[in-house]
Amino acid sequence: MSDYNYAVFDMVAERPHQTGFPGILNVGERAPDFPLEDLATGETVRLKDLWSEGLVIAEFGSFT
Amino acid sequence: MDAIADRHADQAVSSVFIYTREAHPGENYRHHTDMDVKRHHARVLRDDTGIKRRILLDDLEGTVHQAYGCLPNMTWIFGRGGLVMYKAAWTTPEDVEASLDYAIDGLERRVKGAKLPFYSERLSWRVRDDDSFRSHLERCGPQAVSDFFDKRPKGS
Repeated sequence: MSDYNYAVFDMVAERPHQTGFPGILNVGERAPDFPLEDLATGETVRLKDLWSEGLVIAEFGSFT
Repeated sequence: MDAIADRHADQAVSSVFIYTREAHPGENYRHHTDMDVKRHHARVLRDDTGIKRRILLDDLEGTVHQAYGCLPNMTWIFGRGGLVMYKAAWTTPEDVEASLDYAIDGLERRVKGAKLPFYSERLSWRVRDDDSFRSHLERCGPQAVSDFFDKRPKGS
């Protein structure tokens, strides 16, 4: 498994992730589609299905 | 953010919360080792905050999170077809709603042929609230508090 799910928050290593985007995907560009799992139903939801219906606000985060 | 979703629900705006890795794992809520742990933590978030928006789980490796920048609490707004209309490195409801209203207004005027989009960037601002953040990290566990407050650079 990669170190994506770190066990310890490393302030130095994560600092670049706290301050800005790493030069990817600017406004005005088309976003990539991915599948996600609906927590309530367990069903697979695709981003493209969401934005085919209209505007989408997507907040990213976790409990901690 | 739930209030924004409610206010704009009749404007064909859907709002989702994409659950990522744990940003500040601690003794009480450790890093994800499998999807069941991730689901459990997402339910804790739902039940603890009362979030009403649809919660969508990224996969264990954070495929979506990493594709969109891997920041801990970012927000994106997409138009039809996935057009990126807004991205912010931190989530502040005021900034999101102002940007949403701006996007809706621009799209309506564009349809009428009255406006054309252009690219812009700006620096946004958020309230600093160390006490509230520390209190939340204490629920995550002593390690979460120490990893953040004891090791952050002075002045940050």
